[in-house]
Amino acid sequence: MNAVRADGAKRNGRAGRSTAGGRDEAATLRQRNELLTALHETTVALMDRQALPELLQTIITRAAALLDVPHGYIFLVAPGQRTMAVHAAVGLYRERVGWTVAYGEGLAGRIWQSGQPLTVPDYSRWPGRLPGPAYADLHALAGVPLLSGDEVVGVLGLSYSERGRRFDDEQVAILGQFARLASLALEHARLHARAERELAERRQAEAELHRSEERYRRLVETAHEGIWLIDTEQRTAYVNQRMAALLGCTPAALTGASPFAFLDDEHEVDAARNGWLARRPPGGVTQRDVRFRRGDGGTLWAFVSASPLYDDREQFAGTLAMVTDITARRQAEDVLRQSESRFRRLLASNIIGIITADTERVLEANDAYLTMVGCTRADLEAGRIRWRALTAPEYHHLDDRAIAQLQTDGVCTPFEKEYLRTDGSRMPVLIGLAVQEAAPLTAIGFVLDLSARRQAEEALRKSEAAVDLLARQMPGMAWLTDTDLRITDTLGAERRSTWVNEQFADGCLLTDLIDPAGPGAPLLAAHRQALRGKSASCDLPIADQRYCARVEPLRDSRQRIVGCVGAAVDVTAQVRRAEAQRLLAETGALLADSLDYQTTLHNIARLAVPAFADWCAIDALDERGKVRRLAMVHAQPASAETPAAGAGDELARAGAGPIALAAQTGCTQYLPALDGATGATPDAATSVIAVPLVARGRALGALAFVVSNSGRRYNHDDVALVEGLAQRAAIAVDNALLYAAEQRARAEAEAARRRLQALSRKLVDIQEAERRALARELHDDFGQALTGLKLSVELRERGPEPGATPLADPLAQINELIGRVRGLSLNLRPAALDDLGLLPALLSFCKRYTAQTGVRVALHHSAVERRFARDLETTAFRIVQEALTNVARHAGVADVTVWLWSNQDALGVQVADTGVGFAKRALAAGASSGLPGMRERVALLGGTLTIDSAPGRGTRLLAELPLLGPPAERIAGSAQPAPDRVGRPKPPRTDGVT
Amino acid sequence: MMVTAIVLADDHHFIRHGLRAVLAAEPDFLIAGEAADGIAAVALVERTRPAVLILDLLMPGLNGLEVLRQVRRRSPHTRTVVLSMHMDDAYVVQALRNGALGYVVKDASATELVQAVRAAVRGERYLSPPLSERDLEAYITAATDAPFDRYETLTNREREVLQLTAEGCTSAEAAARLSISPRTAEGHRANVMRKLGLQSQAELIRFALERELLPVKS
Repeated sequence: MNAVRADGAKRNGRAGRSTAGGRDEAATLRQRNELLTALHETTVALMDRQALPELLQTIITRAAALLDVPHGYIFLVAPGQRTMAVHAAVGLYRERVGWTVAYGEGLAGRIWQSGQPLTVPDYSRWPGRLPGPAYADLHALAGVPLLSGDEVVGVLGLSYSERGRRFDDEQVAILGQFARLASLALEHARLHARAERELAERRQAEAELHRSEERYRRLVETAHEGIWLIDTEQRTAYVNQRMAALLGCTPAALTGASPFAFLDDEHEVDAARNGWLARRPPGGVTQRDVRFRRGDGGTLWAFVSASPLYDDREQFAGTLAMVTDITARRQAEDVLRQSESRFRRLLASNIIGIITADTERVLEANDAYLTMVGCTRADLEAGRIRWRALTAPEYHHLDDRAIAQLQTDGVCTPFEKEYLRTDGSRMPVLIGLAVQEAAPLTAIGFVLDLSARRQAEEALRKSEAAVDLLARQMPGMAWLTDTDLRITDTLGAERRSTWVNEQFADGCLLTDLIDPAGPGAPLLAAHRQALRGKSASCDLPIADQRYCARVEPLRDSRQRIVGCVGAAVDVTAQVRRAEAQRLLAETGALLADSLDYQTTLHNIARLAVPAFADWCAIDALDERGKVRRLAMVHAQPASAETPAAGAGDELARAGAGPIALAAQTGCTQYLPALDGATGATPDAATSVIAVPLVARGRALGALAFVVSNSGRRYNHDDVALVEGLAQRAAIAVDNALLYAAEQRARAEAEAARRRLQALSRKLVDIQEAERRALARELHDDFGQALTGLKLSVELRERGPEPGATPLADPLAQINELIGRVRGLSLNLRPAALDDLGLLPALLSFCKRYTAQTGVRVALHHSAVERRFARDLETTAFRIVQEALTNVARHAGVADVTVWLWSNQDALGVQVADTGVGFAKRALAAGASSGLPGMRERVALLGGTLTIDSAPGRGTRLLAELPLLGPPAERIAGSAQPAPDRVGRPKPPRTDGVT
Repeated sequence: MMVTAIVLADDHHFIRHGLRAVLAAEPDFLIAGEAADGIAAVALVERTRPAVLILDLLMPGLNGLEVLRQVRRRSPHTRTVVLSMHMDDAYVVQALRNGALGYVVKDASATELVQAVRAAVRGERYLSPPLSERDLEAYITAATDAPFDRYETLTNREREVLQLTAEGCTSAEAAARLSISPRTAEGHRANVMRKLGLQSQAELIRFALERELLPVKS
């Protein structure tokens, strides 16, 4: 370094000499002096280990000042780069610090490239200049390279902005000196920096080593683990502080001691001998939790990790044990184990329900919980217990709140809710939850069965409510008395008005209130019995209410009787219900009693009076829609004689009276309070229920319960009772009507049977009469005639006797006989009726009739030249025959008219004469023997027979016989009951006249 | 000499015997056969085609009138004389209408039957006394269907009810006027409608107007 400076000083001297040639001595001296000063300062700065940037700045400042050049710079090559950057500058270049040029670029780049100084007389006109206006003011430029060996490491340059100034060689040489100085400084700085770096690295390495050693030492000395080195003789070779502390000794006391001395029991000794303290360890590291007995008598739980040590010859040299204190962990584990054991006991005890649950399901639960919710373990294991579904819906918001609380706080405030058990009952519980897992949220919960508490609460509440209710709403009275029977307290006081006496209140004497001879007497007796120590009950009819009273002795704490406690309950409704039941039952029994509905209804009415009504009436609805009384019973027999005439009629008045309305509309009429409406007569109805009697959908009438004197008011229960009775009464009426109809039908059938019997008898009679006539005729006429004929034939064969009267011609006799037979036959039954039909038979008959009787017959016929059914033809024929016979016998006329016609429905026949006629009465009395037979014949065919006659006005007989035979119901007989009084269907009107 | 073949049909053996005796006396008559019932008679006539069939109207098997109709169809040349117990004109008319040429009552003399057979052979009608053509005509007249005035069939009461109804009375009003019950009046009215074959009140009024039962209003 001194050599460099000396070299620099020599060059300075030379530069000073060359400059002095063109200038005056003083200037040369000054310049030289300045150069030297500059060099000196630079050197000093170098020696002072000035920082490189300052040094470079000093160099360029000094150089510019010495050469009197305003602008200057020092470029340094960035190591390993192809650019240089300005590191120090004066003048214009001050602003360019940090500015870079590339290798070969501009003046500096050229100098870097060439490694030679370079001057430019006018940079602004120099072809190699860098572009840009900043260089427009630069004219003369000079630059020299900074060299490190042969390598260019930078460029030092100066420039004039003053046009016309030039750098001379001397200036360039001085510049070169400065450049060498700068290079030197640079070199120096580089070397220095390297020395500094190496020194720092060494220092760091030392520090590192130091720290490592320190750490190791600390590790060993103060390690949390105890370190225990045991030699082959199983004696302690080394322990660290920690190990000594763990065993409650000092390291010095331990050294040489046997580790076995610190083992707690035989078990540990055996375990150590075979394990971590073995002389010939099994190899590798042995690890074990070991319980030591500390020097101070305490217990150390430690985790021992022991490894065998070997010397250079691979010989066992001892054991290194790392001992970690796990007493705390062990204790924590013990605590945990105990806690868990407690938890298990709790879980098993089933005092409280314990669950773990996620936001949906109960994951685990003990039996207590399962019992609470009424589920089985199978449900739980199948994941079927969804706590939300089990929770009563009104508590869901509490669950939601609890979950939110769990998410924020990890626990939730215990709250009460109710589970819906699978059997439908509710289980009140208190539940507390704590988070077990945060995500997904799982909680452990404790569930306390509150049902017992709830029940107790409920029971208490009920008991209080009951007392309250009793006090306010007792359907009767309760009271306390003292031994003088003075009332001291009452409950249910608002019932007072209907109770024994309106003065029944605190402070009154019962003996004053109750008349010993009145209906309250049993109550007084009961109190007296209670004072003697026996409880007593009695029934009390008060007004129209019934009370059941009970009186008990009231005793103090020493069991002395100090008064009575009494209670009375209004049992009117029960009594009435019982009576109603009895009434309904008795009514039912009555129905089975008699088929005579008058009797039945009267009995029903009698049952109702006086228990339920002052009078009871049953009315029937007749065919004109008016009500007619069927039964009536009055509480006062005198009224029954004149059955409550005024009120009853009023109630039954058509269209307005409730009885009539009920019967006509089929709707119950319920008039609980009628006072004033019907006036103030003593018998006037005050409360009425009139219920329609309905059977098989028909309103038959009405049943009425009427209160007129007793002051009773009917209520809805009574309506139901009367309706029940009405149902039964309706059945009675309906049954009776049905029975009557059936009786009527039976009577009609009987009458028909009798008529038929009579007819049969008559037919037999007629038959017998005809046979008799026929027999007589055969015997008398034909017999006589045949006998005569026989006689005459015999005589003729014998020959005529002389003088005898000539006998009748036998042939003539035979002809007469044939004629008689024909006539007889025709009268019995004309063959023509069968062979030829009705009209030919009638024509023949009429001809014979006229011939025999002399009565002329005008026979008009229309549409009858055809055959009809045989019975039709026979009947029509017989009617005409009978009618004409009657005419000939009775009418006293010479002419008779017969009409015979048919249409699509019927065969009609009418026989009319203008003769004497007869009264209907005579006809009904059977004046004509043939007419009833005719009627029967016509009726059999379903036809009609009308006889229209009056004395002196002739007779007209009309028969119409249906062609299609009788309708079925006519054959069946007239069993259809004639409707009677009620529900009679009206025939459709057919006589509508416009 | 022309021989007349005759078939006898009668269910009575004695009758047939008698008839045969009567007819055998006539030399030109030949009994071609005898039948005892209607069916046999028809078959015999169809087989033998006799000139004359003497037929009893009342025989078992087939009614005489039906035998007449079948014989007329199956053996048109055979002429039938009916022999009958019936003297009714009705039978005679029926027999003649069904193709008989002669009608002889059974109690007539034997000669009448022979006369009837001979008349039949000649194609002439024969009626044995006391039957007469006049009576038959009278019968036919009487039996002829003659529509009559249905009003005639109405009873007095019915005529009164008809009158009142036509005048505009309801049944009840008519009943009141006639002092009878409404039901009775209604019954009369129904009879009137039925006897007269009327269907409605309008037809009833028209009937009354046509019969001039109602005073014509000026």
